[in-house]
Amino acid sequence: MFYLALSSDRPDFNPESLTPRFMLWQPAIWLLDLRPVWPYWCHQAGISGHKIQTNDQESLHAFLRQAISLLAGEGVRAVMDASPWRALMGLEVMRERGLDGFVFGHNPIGRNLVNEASWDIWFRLADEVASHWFGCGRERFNLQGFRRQAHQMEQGMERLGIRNPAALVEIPALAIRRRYGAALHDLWLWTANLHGDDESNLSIFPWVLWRQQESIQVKRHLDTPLLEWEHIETVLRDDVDRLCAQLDKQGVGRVLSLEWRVVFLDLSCLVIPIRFRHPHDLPAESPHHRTALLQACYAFEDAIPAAMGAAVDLGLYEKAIGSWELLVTEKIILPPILRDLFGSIMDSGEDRLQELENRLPVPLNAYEVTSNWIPEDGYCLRNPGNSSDTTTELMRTDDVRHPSLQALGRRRPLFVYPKPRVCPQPANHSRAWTFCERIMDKWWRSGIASSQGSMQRDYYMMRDEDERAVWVFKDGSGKWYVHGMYN
Amino acid sequence: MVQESTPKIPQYIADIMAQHGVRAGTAVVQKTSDPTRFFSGNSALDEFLEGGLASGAVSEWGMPAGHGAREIVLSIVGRVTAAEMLVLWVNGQDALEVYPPAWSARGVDLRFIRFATAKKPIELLKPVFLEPLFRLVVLDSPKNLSGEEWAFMARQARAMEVHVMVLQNFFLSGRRGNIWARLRVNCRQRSNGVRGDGWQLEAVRGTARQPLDLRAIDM
Repeated sequence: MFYLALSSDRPDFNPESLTPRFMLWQPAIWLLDLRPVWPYWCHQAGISGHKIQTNDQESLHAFLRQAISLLAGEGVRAVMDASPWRALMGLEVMRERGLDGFVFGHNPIGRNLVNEASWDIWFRLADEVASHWFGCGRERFNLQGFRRQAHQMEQGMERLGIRNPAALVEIPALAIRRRYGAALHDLWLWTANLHGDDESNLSIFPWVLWRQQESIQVKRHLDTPLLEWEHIETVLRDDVDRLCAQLDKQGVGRVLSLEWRVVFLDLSCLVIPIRFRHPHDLPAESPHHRTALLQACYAFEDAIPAAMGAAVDLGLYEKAIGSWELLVTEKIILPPILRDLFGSIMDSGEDRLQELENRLPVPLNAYEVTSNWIPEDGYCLRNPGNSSDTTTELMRTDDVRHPSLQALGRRRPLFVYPKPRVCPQPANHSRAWTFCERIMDKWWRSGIASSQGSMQRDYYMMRDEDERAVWVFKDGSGKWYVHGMYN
Repeated sequence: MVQESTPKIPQYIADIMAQHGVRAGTAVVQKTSDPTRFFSGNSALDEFLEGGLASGAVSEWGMPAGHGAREIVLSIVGRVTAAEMLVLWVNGQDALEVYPPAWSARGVDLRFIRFATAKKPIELLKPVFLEPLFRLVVLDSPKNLSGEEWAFMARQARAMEVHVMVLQNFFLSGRRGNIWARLRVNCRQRSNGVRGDGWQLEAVRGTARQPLDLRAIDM
């Protein structure tokens, strides 16, 4: 549930209060991508990163409903869904029926809204998507050709007497592609949700991010060219401070990313992105700016060796920095009315963990166990609030519904290889062996070579040549793989 | 330190239960009422560690890969997460990733543990050691920790009152000392069968106790 389609008549509504990633879909209709700030909003809603409660989803919905009505007014119309396309469809149905309010796509009401969308709405939205595809220059896309094919499809549906798109979801997307072309095929994939809401499915969505006219930036022309981070850090700290003064003026609450555009003495430029894992309160760290400078240092150390390698040979200091520009690229503006809503629900421990994560060059991962017997699918990265995900059933640590999976977990090793490694068939069968388990792969999942008989895995615990206990399996075709190690 | 005993289960039943993945309460369950100590829940191990691992200290453990000895560490990690304290596990093992379902099944509450991958943990995770957010930090197979890094860890562990466990991929030797680790222990597998039937813990430094034999089914 990361996409929000929203229409508001309020002229002062600024989507940047909710997320830095949004686009103006149509006049007064905004499409927001909440993914970069989703953990932040979950946190503000009182869903702690390490204490998911059963009523979390309701708390999050209530919080978002309240926040959106505060920002966009009582007459707001908004639909939240895992797919931007379905969010827009839901919004269009609401508009047609004159409904106001905030609807979640996974609720029965939200699902009904999308299912009851007429062909008129579908083709109108399809045309809007096509216009955006044309605007952002989708490869091998012809707007006139698309409109012609859409018209043919519309006539076809009329002739067949199919009432609305929901009545046709069973039709394979490939059939749409053969008859009406690739673009309508893509739209059909989103409509029928045939491949779930994975990122690859949504990668072709025509996002045209809204950019504010007035950017927040500072420029610096150095008196003395600088090479070393120790010298750069002091000057950069002053510039971050200057940036904070501008942020304060515009009432910006949190920053997600900065861009540091460095110009070397040989006049070559290097853009160094400085990103924060969680929205960072930049002015709050004034004047030391520890977090921002740490992230700048990591980014600088990553970027500079590559730039040095590509240096034009102008002498010893050709890659000394002559000037730079520092600008805010992603931010959220938190108006005072929203800050009042946050109240005292913030958990200081979770805040400190987020602040700490912002200071590190590597992520601190938290995981959740899913109720899935395939080892690779048995867990996922933890994301606060993702318990609404309908495709992955999460298993709570205290869950007693899956004792068999718990027992499986006890027999499996603590460490595994990300991808099982092919190994030769163990030569000596007299070595110590223990049969662990037999599992079947998911035959319905695409990309699995069921014809080769590799669906079955027989897992064993055995000792390798170095006397280490390893977790190996033999697939149905007789190939052997090492999957993990009992460390 | 408060102790409470679980009902006595006959050993043969406990063994059968363990084979089916059910942990029998053969060990004395200890409540972690002492906030300066981290317990494992296994009375013999806690006794060997002279009342659990002390906060504000660094310990070094010799446990080569493939011997299953990290199960011992997990018993401590499980207890710390059960007490709703945050644990950080820094994995430095080549190509291997943690498999969370196995951790969860062994009693680790995944809500209270974070995982990072770093071969040079001090260099990459220095800010972690500057805050007392994680009560237990486990550095699994770090590569070549320098003397300065050991000194930094010991100083910060003391200042922040956290415990840092360093798990080495080799056995520790008394000849090559480490003045920064208050406790140094080797965990050798007692080989019998594929997984072995347990481990022998042998103190190199920090405890005067005799080697301790731990059974795998008790962990």
